[in-house]
Amino acid sequence: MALRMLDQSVRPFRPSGTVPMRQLTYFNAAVSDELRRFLAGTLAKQLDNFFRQIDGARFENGTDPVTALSDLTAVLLAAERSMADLAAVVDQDYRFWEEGEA
Amino acid sequence: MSRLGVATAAALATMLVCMPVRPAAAQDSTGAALVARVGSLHAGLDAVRRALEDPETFNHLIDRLAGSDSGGWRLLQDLHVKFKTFETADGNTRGLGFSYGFDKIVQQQAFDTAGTAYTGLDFHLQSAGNVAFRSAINPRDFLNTGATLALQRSRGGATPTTEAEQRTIGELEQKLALYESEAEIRQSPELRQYLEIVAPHLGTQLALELGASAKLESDQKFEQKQYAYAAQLGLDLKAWNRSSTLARWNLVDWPAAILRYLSGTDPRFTPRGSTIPTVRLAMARVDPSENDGREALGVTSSYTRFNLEAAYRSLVAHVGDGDFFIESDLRWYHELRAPSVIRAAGLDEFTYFAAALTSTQGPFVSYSSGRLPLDAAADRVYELGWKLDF
Repeated sequence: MALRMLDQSVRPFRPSGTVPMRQLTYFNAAVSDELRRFLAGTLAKQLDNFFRQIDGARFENGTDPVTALSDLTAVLLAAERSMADLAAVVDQDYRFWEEGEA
Repeated sequence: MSRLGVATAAALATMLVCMPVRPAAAQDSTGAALVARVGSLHAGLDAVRRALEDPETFNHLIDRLAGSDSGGWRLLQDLHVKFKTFETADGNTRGLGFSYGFDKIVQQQAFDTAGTAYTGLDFHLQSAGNVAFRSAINPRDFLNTGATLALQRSRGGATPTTEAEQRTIGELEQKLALYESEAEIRQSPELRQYLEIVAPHLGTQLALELGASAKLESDQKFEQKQYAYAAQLGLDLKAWNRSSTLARWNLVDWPAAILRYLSGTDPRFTPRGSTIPTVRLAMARVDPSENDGREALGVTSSYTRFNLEAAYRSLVAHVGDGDFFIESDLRWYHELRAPSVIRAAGLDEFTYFAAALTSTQGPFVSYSSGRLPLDAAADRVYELGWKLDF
C-alpha cells in the first residue's frame, strides 16, 4: 500500500509481483543516471518514512538506516528488478507489526 | 542524423520456442521430405540470425543473468545494460548497440537518522552512455564516467501514527492485499478507512544532495574527450499529501491531472505533489583535452560550464490493467564567458530535451531534440512504437 499512497502504482498486491521498477511513476527513462540515482534515493527515504513512521515497522536485527536505504535504492535503480524483488528487500530489512511487533 | 529505436521480438521468441523437432526415425527419406527439411533448416537458421540481430534477445539474457543469485553475477546487478537497435533517420542503416549504466556505492555513512531526518555521505562510482557496434550510427554519442562524493539530506515526508493506528493499518493492509483488481480495491470499505487514517500522516519531503564529482566525458571511441570537475546540487521537493497547498498548486501536473480526471482515473481534479519536477544544477571546470571542435578554433584552454537538468513524470491514465505516463527531461549546458569564436560556432551551449508518452501495456510515443556535449550535430527524433516484454 505504500507504493499506492506514494503515487507509484495502483496495482493490486497479488498480481503485481512481476511488475518491473520501470513501470513505477518515479522511473523516468529519459533522465541522466545522476538524476535517476537522486530520484531513487528520495523515494527510498520516503518508503523508509512510510514503513517506520506510518506502518510502525522497525529494522530487523543487524539492519541500520544506511543498509536499508542502500538496499531499497539499489532495487529502485534497476529498471528490470521486480516488485517481488522490492518486497524481498523490505521483508529482509523491516519487521512489521504482524511479525511479532504488536 | 540518426534515430534510436527499441525493437521487440515476442513473435520471434515464440517461433524459436515452438520450432518443431522431430525424431530422426520418423523422417521420410524421399526427396520431397529432404527439401522440406532443408527448408526447415533455412527457416531455423533465419530465425536464429534474426534473434541475434534483435536487441531483446540480449536483454532477456542479461535479465536472466542479473537475476541469478550466483555471486559471479554481482557485477551485473550494478551494471544495467539495455540492448537497442540504432537506426539512421533515412531508415537505410540499422545496427545493434546498447546503453549501459553502472552505479556502485563504495562507501556510505549516516550522521542523522532521527525520525524522518536523514543526513548522510556517500562515495560512488558511475558510468553511463550509449554504444553502437557501428559508431557512425550512434545518435547520443556521449559517455560519462566518474566518481562522486555526495552529502544527502532529507527532511519531512511523514508524521508518526499511534500504536493503535498502526495495528489497524496492518489489519487493513492484510485485507486489501487479498483483492485481485484495482476496481475492487477502489470500492472497498477498507480503502476508505485506510485513507482516513494514513493520508493525514503524509507530509512534504525536501531532499537535497550536495556533491563534488570528477568525470571523463567522451564519445564511444574515446577520440573526443574532456574532463569535468564539478560541484553539484540536487533539489527534490515532494508533497506526498494530495490535500497540501503544494500538491494542489503543482501547475506542472495540471495537464496530467486533467487527463486523469477525464479518463476516470481520478474521481476529481487532483494534481499530485509527488510529481513536482526534480532539479539538478552543476558548475563544472572542463578540461577539453581532446575536443576537435575547440581545437579547430584554436581554443583549448579549460573553461567553466553551468549545467541544469530538470525532469518530470506523472500518471495520465490507468486503463484496464495498464498505466499511461507522461515523462520529460531537459538538460542545458552553458559555457560561462565563452570566447566569441566558440559562441559563433555554437559550441558554448548544448540543449537536450526529451518527452514521451509511455504505457505499461506497450505503446509509446516519444520526441527528443537537441544535442549533448560532444554530439556532432543537433538531432530531432520522433518515435512511435510498441514495446513488448517477454
